[in-house]
Amino acid sequence: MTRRTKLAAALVFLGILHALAIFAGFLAPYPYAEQHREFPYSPPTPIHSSRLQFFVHGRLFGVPEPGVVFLLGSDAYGRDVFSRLLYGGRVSLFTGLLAALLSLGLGLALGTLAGFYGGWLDRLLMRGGELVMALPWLYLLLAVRAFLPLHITTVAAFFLLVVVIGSVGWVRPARLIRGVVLSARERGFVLAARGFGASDAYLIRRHILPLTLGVVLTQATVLIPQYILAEVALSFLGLGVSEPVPSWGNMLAEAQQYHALVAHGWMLAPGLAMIPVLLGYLLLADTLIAPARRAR
Amino acid sequence: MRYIGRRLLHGLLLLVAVSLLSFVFADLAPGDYFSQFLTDPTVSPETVAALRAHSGLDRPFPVRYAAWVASVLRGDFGYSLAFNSPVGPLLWTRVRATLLLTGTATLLAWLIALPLGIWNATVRGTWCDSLSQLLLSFLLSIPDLLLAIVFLMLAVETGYFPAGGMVSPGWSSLSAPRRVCDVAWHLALPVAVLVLGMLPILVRHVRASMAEAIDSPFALSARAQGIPRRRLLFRHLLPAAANPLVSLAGVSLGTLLSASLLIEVVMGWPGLGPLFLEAIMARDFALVLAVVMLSASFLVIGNLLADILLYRLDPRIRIK
Amino acid sequence: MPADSFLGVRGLSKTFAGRPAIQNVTFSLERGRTLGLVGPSGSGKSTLALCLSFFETPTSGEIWLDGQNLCRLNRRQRSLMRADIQLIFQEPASSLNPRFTAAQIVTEPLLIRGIGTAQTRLLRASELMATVGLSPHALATPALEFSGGERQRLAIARALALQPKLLILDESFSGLDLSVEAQVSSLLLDLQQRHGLTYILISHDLALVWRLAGEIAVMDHGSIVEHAPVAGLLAGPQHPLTIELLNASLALSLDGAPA
Repeated sequence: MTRRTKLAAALVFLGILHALAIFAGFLAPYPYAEQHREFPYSPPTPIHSSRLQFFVHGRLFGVPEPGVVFLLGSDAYGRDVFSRLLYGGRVSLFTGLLAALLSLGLGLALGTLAGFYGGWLDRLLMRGGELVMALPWLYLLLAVRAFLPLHITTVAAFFLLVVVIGSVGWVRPARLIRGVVLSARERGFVLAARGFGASDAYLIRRHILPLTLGVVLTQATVLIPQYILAEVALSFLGLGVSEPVPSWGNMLAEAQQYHALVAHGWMLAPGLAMIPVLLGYLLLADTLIAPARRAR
Repeated sequence: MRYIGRRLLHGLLLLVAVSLLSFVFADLAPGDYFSQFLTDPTVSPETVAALRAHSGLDRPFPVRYAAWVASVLRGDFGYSLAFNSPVGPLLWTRVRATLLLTGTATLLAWLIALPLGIWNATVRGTWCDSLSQLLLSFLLSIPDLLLAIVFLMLAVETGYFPAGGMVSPGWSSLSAPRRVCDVAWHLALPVAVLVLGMLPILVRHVRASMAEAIDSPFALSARAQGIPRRRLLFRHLLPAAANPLVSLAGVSLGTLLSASLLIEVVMGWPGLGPLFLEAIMARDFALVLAVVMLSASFLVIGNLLADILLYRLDPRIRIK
Repeated sequence: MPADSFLGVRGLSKTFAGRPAIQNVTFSLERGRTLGLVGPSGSGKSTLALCLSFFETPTSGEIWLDGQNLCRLNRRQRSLMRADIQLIFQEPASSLNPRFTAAQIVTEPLLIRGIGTAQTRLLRASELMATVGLSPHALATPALEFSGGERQRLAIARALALQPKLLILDESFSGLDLSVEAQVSSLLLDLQQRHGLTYILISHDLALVWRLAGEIAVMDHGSIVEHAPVAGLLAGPQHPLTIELLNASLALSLDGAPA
């Protein structure tokens, strides 16, 4: 398999997974908070095609009342795990994505400034970064999150998560980008453009930033899965998104009824769902980093 | 020598900065241990204020920081309000437990990763290598959390392993060898989860470093000279591959205190993790600060050791 | 008087961290002439080039171009004057952004200074390409697909975009094979004839300098030790360094004819 095919395959694969999450509202047969108290811990319902209806209630499929279609079973409150998986995916996947965007944006801005202007700005940023790196990140994350009000609305929680997770991880991208900018700054064509009277902003925009693209992309493929895991960990511990909004983290927290877990295997679905996502990003990272190795 | 001295100084300054940062940070937290009483109708605000004053929580920031530094230098890490005990002894038992867990796991992971990674590097390109890469990638994609939960599930189901804790009830009455066995039995599952989590990344790094060493011009010429494989491996290739690995080892060392937080909480191992979580929830300033400082110290020391070791091992750094 | 000639340099010095790179350099150059600047490495040739093209600020001294004292200009004026003096670097490969197309490279100076529209710039690009002997069809080709000689021509085309009066070529021919070097040399001579350009040519290669330059300045340890018309220099070199350089140059015999 050529690198191009692998890249395309990884992108398509991840795209599908994310699309499934985005269209949760359409693909999921039930809203995430809908309870069916009469069917707690119901195993996955076998699908009788005759009973299945499509495009009902604005959703892709469903069954007429009083039937239920639990593709992946139900939880303690009779909520459909499959639906919650999709909605939860929205939270977990996109928290990771947005937080990574934040980290990368911060890292890009700070790394470029430090690398381009050098001097005290550079020293300040590097020392500051070292300081942040000296703190164990999960501990830092927990502390930052926990030290903010514990009970907040879901939307606020989501944004808070994104900001908290994203603002902890800017250091490594910043360092790598700084390195690229430092060497780019001395390239002949940058000097030549200066010779024509180019402003700093022009040089950064036209010549230097394009050179950072490679680093930004590879860092993205490394950070996003880490941040998804961070969101899951936080929500699992009760410090992230909370009931009734599902996240793969708080769904996994419900799976901690160990004595019954073997009988309720479908409760592990959120954890299992993470495997293809992480694999996809791993494949993406490998295809992006590989040529750099070969070039060495 | 001067290099080492400089690095030590640097590390020390970093720790001071970390302490200041953590202090400021913990201070910014809305509320403190006594805030919980504010919502309690039976406790008057005056009582809360008096409690605060009694614990010295109402003094200005620089005073508190200076007092804290002074007491730390004496070996006194403050008093935990949530657990009603001095922080030091509280930390000590937990740190021991965490180090036992992560130390064992890290050692085991490296013991497996080194030969595995080296072997992978030597058979690069064969189906063996591809299969092993595939398996490791799959392993890397399994979240630790999931693994921990599944293992616990199996433990509860089969009863082969305990479902939490470090020792069984009545442990102190067991004979010494049986006590060790008991702890090992409790250690097994958490260590397994940690090792499986660390392995893929370690193996990748070892493989990459070895591969680079194998491909380097000096290795090729050594092979052309007909140097036997074993000698080649140990006397030529490994030292060349050592640099990035030493840095990695430093990182491993540095994360000994912090890597297992989630696992400890999930699997009920009485280490630093659960303590930290409780301290955060209870807004126990002294404890949170102590734990953060301790784990940051480990990180800084781990990196420092790696730097110093690299300096001794790699003549190129000395020339720079 | 430095103000009278086209390019006048008086007492120019540049010190880097206590170490003088050029000291008290004084010379003048008439319009349309070519000055060859030679000397061993470290003699300050490149520093002089950088000072003349505004990349470095001289520690002391004056530079006059076409009656204007360049060292007395404010930032805005200096920025405008940069159009008049262009430096062509040693490495064509690194002085061009490999991802840029030929059109982008050649029109970059115009873009930076906000001259013209996208349309007019493209037209100018075709003109410039034709001037240096490159096919305008190659406008959309990325720079890395050009050969070394072609890239040097692109660099020259780019330098010409702002219609400079003075062109400084710092070792611009090293790394080019002889046939390419010959092509670029004749191009430069042609341009000089047609547009009245003035050149300062910095090179190790005395034969090249003999071919292209009208006068030669020899530099050593930051100062000009000898400055004379080419024929005169070859006939009767004064400074021991000049004699040494001429002797070391295998391609020249002392009567002035190239080998």
